[in-house]
Amino acid sequence: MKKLKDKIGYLFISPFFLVFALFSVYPILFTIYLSMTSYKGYGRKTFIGADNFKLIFKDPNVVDAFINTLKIWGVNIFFQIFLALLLVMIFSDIQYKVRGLKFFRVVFYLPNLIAAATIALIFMKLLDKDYGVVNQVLFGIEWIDKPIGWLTKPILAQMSVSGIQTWMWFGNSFILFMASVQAVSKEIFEAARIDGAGRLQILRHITIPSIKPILMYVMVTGLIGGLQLFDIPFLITDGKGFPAGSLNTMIVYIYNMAFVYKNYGYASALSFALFLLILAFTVVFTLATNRVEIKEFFTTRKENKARRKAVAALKGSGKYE
Amino acid sequence: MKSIKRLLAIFVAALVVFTGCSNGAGTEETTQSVAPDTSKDYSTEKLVIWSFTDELSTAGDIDHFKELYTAPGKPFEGMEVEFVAVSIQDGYMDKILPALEAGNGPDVFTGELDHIKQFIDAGYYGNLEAMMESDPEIDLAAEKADYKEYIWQSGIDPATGKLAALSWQVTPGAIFFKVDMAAAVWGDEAGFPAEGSPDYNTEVTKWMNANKFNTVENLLNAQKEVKEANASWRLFPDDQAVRHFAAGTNNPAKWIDDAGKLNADKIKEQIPYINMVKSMYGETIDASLTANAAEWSGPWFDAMDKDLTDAEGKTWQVMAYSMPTWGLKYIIEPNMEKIDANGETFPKPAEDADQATKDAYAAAAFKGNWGMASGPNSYFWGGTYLGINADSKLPEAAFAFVKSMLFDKERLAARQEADGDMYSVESVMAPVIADYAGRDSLGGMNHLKVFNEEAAKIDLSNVTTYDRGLNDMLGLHITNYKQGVEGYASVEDVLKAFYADVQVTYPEIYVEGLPTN
Repeated sequence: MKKLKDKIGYLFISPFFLVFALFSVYPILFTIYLSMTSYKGYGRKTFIGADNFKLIFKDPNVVDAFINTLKIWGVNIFFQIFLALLLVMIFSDIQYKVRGLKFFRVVFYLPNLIAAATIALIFMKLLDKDYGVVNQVLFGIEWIDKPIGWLTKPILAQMSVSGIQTWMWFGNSFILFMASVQAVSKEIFEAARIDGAGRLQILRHITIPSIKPILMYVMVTGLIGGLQLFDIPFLITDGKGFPAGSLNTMIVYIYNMAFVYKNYGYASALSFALFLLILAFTVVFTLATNRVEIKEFFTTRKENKARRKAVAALKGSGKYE
Repeated sequence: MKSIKRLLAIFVAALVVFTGCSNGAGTEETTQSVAPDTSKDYSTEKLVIWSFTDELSTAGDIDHFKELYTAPGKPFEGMEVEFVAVSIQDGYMDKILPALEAGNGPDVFTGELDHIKQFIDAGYYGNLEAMMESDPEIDLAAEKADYKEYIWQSGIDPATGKLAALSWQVTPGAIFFKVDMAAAVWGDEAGFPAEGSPDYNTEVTKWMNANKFNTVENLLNAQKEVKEANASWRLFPDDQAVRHFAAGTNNPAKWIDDAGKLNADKIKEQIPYINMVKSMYGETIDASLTANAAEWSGPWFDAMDKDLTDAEGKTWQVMAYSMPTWGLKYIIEPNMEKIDANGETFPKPAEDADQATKDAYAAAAFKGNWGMASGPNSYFWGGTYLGINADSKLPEAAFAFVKSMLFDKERLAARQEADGDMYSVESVMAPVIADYAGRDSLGGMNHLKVFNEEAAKIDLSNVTTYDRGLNDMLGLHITNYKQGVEGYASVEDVLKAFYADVQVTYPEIYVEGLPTN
């Protein structure tokens, strides 16, 4: 009876594992399987072993797409966090006492609620070189004498997409950071102020340490999301990755390989390679940014082990009693 | 805990086995009877039809089928008919391919030409010709003769040599151009029709066909002449308008040669087109031969009936668009200039205008200042093909639906009358073309006759499943070349970069020693 009672818990948690197996494990396994085949998305799948993986090393587009993705992500994550921190500094400053935090939270978060397709359409209209509103305004105030190719010059196009991503996501980071800061007692900020700490010192010694776990979370999720950047570059360029392939990110390339060029096998190999790359990046990043915590973890573990060993030794010698 | 682990191991193993076993549909052909099974209770059955447009529903095809076949007393009495429309933008192919692969595909499904090539290649479409043969009411030879040759050809399964899919539509393309702008540019040249002469738009079109749009070289010169005649005028909105003329001939080479490899002749055929696109490009509109208005963008639509104003405040006018049959009806006509009773331009009402103004605009006459010419080569764009799932459990009902759509000529004639489209059936179109009074928007020109002639020149026997991918891929490198991207200094660079992509994407068709100039 007791045995059945113990096992019934598994039944209650099984829905999660079933859904996880069906929608996460199965697609991963299927992708691995496809990556070892030649498959057009229909018809016969021919097993070709590691040929698709070998092809990755010969394909110059892979390196280009990866560098593009890193560039766009790097600029975006820097400004996203910088802007969010700046706003946290302003809204948590006990001297400024800025009002309307709830209102601004909504305003800053709003871009995140708009569909990517809508955002892409809006920015295509705004940033069009020949007919766009931005150039129209710049001509109007006589800042330029020839149109700027926001989406037609490679570096500008990448920075424009980074800018759009920053605009979409800084509100999200701000809300997360602000929630962490609000959990810190106000007295600590007041005490620091009385002790003569400047704003940057408060940021460095109070604000950042208090939001560190969330900061790490934002950076890791930002890294994972950034390396999978797809919607805006795809929609802005109609999937082509123009100009000069500068908006051809890893996922745009994989998408085109599968759904335009119908090479599902190679697209799956690229997907799996990207998965491994993201995994490696995430592990390295987590290790690099949590050195102290990891060291503490291992020290504590070692100490606990030694303590348990000592206790066991004492028990064995009878001294413990 | 051990048993849980065992259970998980079995589950994962089952997934792997399932994954490994799902190898897609077979390509075996079977002859299926198309006579209704009198012993079967069809009221418990469901015929499933998928399409990438909602046309089968909105044009009344589903209702027509129900009336003929599923109503009380009819062969499939009480049978449910489920129609699913998924647009291409919403992933029609991404949804239907896994369904077909898993054996859960619809009984009848549609596709554009490049879709049906994939369906046929995978063996998803059944043998339509065999079904037609087994139906005593259908005369296969007569039907074959009645359908446009290119439409019939394009639906043939190369594995069996038999028809697998067929379309009631024919979608040849043309260059639609503003006759008044053409007259302003070339009106003084020899042979250009005098304004006000009988069938003026038709005559101007003939002149343009013979003098300006007949070769890739002349098409490029025409663009230069338009710009020279008026610095703010452009022949085309952007270079996508000339992509249909990449072959430059009505006898295009095929992308894949008989040995199944990339065809050198096809590549050589692309070189004049690559050069034309490069010549058309300019970083600013001033420097460009086009208005730099990307296809399907706001300015691209706007230029049909009004001047474009760029960011700098300069205005531009566009003369011509490359569009197929459906483009005239659904894209260009809704944006053509209209006039009121006094001959003055009737401005297009805003979205929030009152209904009376919208009605008045809808009723207003077209200015009638457009002509419709052919380009250096005939081309097609779009079209809906219909075929039957090779694994359908209801092949007789599926065939009945196809029959009601494709071989019921009275119904097709009524359908054509309602939508005014070009159909691929000679017996339907011949009387329509003969009695046609002409299209008002084209100044009374018999555009159906022109489309009919263009359709007869199209040869799609050489289309392969690689065409779309290879055209897209080459297009990317042509864009890099025209924009002067580093590493793209010549046509040779374009082709080398293209070959590098082919080598990675389609290694099975790549060969060494392809031409680079």
